Amino acid sequence: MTTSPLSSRRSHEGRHLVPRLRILSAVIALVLIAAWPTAGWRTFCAAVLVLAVLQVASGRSWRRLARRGVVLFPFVVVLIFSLVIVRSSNGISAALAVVAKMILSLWTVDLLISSMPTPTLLCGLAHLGLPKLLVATMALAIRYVEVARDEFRRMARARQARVIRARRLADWRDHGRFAGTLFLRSLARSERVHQAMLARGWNGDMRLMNLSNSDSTS
Amino acid sequence: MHLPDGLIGLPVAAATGAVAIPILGYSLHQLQGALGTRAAPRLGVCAAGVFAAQMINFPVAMGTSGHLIGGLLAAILLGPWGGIVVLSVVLLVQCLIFGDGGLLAYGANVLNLAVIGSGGGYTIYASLRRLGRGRTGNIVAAALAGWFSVLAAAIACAVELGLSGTFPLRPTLLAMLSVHLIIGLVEAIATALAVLFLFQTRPDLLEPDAPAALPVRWEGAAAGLMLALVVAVFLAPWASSLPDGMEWSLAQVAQAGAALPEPAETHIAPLADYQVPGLAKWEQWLSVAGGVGTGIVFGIGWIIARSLRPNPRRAA
Repeated sequence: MTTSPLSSRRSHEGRHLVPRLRILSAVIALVLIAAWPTAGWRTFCAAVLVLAVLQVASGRSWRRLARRGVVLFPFVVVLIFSLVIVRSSNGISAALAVVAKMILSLWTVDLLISSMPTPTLLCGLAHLGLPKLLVATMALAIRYVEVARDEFRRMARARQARVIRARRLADWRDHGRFAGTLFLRSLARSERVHQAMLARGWNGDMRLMNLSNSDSTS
Repeated sequence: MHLPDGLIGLPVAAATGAVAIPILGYSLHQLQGALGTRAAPRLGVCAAGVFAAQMINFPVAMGTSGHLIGGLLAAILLGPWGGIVVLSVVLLVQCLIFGDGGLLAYGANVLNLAVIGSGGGYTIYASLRRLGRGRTGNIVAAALAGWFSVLAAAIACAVELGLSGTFPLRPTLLAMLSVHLIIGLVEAIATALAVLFLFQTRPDLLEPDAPAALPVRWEGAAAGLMLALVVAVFLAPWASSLPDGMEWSLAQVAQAGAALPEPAETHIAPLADYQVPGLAKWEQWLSVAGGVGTGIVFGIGWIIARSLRPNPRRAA
């Protein structure tokens, strides 16, 4: 059994050490990347090598990483675009350095979050001293993200099926209604969730499961 | 506006974190006191709702579209503290589950989008609401607050990038504001429409005293500060001394940073020696656009409140 109440730290410290260490080392890596002098391309290659080894060791797919990297695309475009406008002389290497930093940072965070299941990550965050309310809120937000998104998709499909019109103005008003409806339904759902949680003994103290296999032996 | 890691330097990340994280902690403390065991489910489920609301794409001109940020709407429904926490949780989930947005830049993102965008937007909404009455006042206040909160967040973001030395301040400010005039318009209209809908369905949620908020004086001061910031940035191109004053203060900050024993920051600005033709002219156009945009937002808010009044038979 690997159940561990968030509130008590007496139970097997070692079990929670690994997620915590991972999060901390990721943060340290991010700090190092941010502090990295822009001229050191050898350092960059070394960092890429280390991350690549970690990526291979964790057995994560490269395609997923590439898909995550798409997030950076607009920023890279803006950087290049502003370079073209300004025609700065020393700008290119510096801009490349910024892009390199963005890639390294994204890769680090991706390795962190893909190397452990979400409950383990939440456990680690809680044991790092994040406020309990914040971690509990985050856990519930993660749990209900897909529910809310499904709700939005259902609403959109229902409207598509019933409404035959393509007027811009009405469209806008519908979008406003959608946003309002989503919020109202979220509020109502939060009440139901709260009732259900109370019925199961919720006293404001989140219990999280540490699902990481490698940690449960200690 | 949602910053990834690598764009802002360590000192800026530390400074924004030092401002934003205590505010987030205080908000959590307030909510824990006000809501008790209800706090986590309400904030968590509403954060999920914000995620879904961000999927709604509003068509803007020329095939582009923008989406609602939802910070102001969350603050209107849950109070300023609730808005700050909900947006912070959204940012944390985006960073740690979806890999979108920085971890080191988390403090900066919380400051821009949660504290300024959501909490600050709420202070503008609450202050302006007192000037008008009833539904019209409420909806116009929501529209203007959405508009100004997006612009203020964009300014904060540009200043952070400028202070980091990644980009020079003035062109960044220009580019950010140019883009966010559109985004601000979308946020303003979307928020106003959503508030209109809430008036039709659950007017009790919009009662002025419903959410526990700041004292009126503090609220007014915060709103005034944010409005002054936005207005000052937009008026800056007309007063030639002000941009220089800003650059002077930036230079002071840079010098102070260099004088520290540890020169940790070794960013080189890619665009340090910028010479963009027509920069000043663009700035002047932008400030006109800002003024006109404020008028447009006011007008749209008024129209939404007045003439889009739905047929009562259909509203049910």
